[in-house]
Amino acid sequence: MTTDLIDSIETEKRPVTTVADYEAPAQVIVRNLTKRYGDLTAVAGVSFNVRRGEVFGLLGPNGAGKTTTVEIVEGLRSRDGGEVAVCGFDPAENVNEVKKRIGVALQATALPDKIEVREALALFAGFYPRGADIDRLLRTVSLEEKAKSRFDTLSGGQQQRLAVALALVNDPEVVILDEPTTGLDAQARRELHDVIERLKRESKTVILTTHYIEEAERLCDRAAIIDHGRVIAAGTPRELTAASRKQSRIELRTAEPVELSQLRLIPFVESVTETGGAYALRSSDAPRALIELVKWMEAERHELLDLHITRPTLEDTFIELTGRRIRE
Amino acid sequence: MNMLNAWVNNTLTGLKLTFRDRQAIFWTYAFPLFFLFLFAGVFARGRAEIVLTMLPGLLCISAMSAGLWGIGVTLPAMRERGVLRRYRLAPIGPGMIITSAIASNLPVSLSTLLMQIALAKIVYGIEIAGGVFATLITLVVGALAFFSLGFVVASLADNVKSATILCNLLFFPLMFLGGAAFPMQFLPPKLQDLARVLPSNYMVDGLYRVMKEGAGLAANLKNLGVLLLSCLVSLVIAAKLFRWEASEKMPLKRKAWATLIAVIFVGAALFVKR
Repeated sequence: MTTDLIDSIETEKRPVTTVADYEAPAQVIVRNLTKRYGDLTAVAGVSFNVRRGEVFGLLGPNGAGKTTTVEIVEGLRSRDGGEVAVCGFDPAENVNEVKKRIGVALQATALPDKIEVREALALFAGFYPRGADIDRLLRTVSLEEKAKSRFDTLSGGQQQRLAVALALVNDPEVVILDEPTTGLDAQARRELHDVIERLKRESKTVILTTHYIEEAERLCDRAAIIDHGRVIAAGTPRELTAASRKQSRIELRTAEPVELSQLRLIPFVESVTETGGAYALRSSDAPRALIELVKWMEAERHELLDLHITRPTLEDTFIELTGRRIRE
Repeated sequence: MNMLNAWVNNTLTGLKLTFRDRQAIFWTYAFPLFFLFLFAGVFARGRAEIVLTMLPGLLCISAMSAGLWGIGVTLPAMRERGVLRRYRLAPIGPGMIITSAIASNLPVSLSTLLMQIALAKIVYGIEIAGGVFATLITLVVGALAFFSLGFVVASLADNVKSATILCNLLFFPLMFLGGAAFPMQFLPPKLQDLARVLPSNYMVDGLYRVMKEGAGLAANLKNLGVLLLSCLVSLVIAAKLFRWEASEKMPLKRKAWATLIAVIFVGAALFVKR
């Protein structure tokens, strides 16, 4: 609760920047990409850039066109229109040059049932001119103890982490993870998040598709929200939520009752309600409202028992933009 | 050099995986054994002379089933499960998958054929007239022809189900018309002409000449040549039609090319015979 508060105040003082804002060169460029399947337009003019060293999210509901988009980037599918450049190569022209420079974890990765984890990594590493160190890969995805286990004995989460390790066997410039956590339980998902955060610390360029908003908020430097084959919003998770018209909510409890009318006079507070001794303040500039609130409490010598702030989430932005929840 | 290493590694891994699948490996050896004792014990009543006459056909049936079911159905199963999709992400082509699968299947298949010959010798006391080398070469070339045919099936079939149907559609004519089940001379003349197109004829004839009549490779050049040519044509068609994913539709242009190659090949074979 309080960390949330400090977080808000601090970011308000600093200009909102991320590593990705320092104009790193674009590793992946997608311009006006279109793809049709018969009458169905799966991708209808998608554009985005992925810069070196950032984790870029493609966030959207099932069937939004995320997988089709990344599969075109990977060179697995042809496109009907637009331009794509991956590390300077067009996957439609130079698919092998693209394949050498990227690593992909598919939505569902299948391997021969009886192949052992280490064997699989060594086998696929052999297909590339330069390979990563297998022991290090096993550590990265926390599968050291499963090195001798066969694929069909691995849990869903372990299979998915092996898929991520396979995506890293060529020490790729760009890592593409297509819905890596879909279908996993909470524990397995957390473990995979740790792996992705490790990649982030190693400054890998990562494209992550997901329909989990929390995942995009937690892992991505920037994200594009994609729906019906179009990008409907793009930016850092903070920019995306800031774009939401929804206000932040500040909830507080005090030792002694306070006058609602007085709370309303605090600058930047737009409305106040009270339920059972708890006050809820709404503001579109929560950090400033908080500072004013604390100043006022100090001056009036009110004792604060509890305080927390709820910011609008990416989910709110998504609902606002599309009129529905993401998992509908 | 690097790609060669990858190829060797992929082939050895394939071989290792074959032996790890206990059930599959059991049937790989049990099936030829069953056929050997059915043919030699029941049909030939254990008489060495007749067992030796039947053996070429039997070896051909084993090679055919290894090629058609071992590759023709296994590969679509890998495709259906999405294993090929994972391979597709690597910078390798169908050639790597096809040649590597041949190389890892050949030793296994060859060992079952040699097991049949060895058991026929030990149990029924057959006397093979030809040399070991000539026999081995004929077996390898025959097996390669049917492996390649297996790849054609794998490329044509959309899924495991249609691959199984295709295998059956090919297996029985190859067996009954191709001289594997009984000598081709038993067939009506018109059917004999048609049967001459089937590669199984050339394997059976080649093995018969070597094993029964003691012919060397030089006397068998035609048989070996036809088998190798059939192998080559099949591989070209299979590579042209190769699909990594179950959802991939076969482009009409590629289908047309493959059909054209097949028609020219079969047409030429019929024409040459006349």
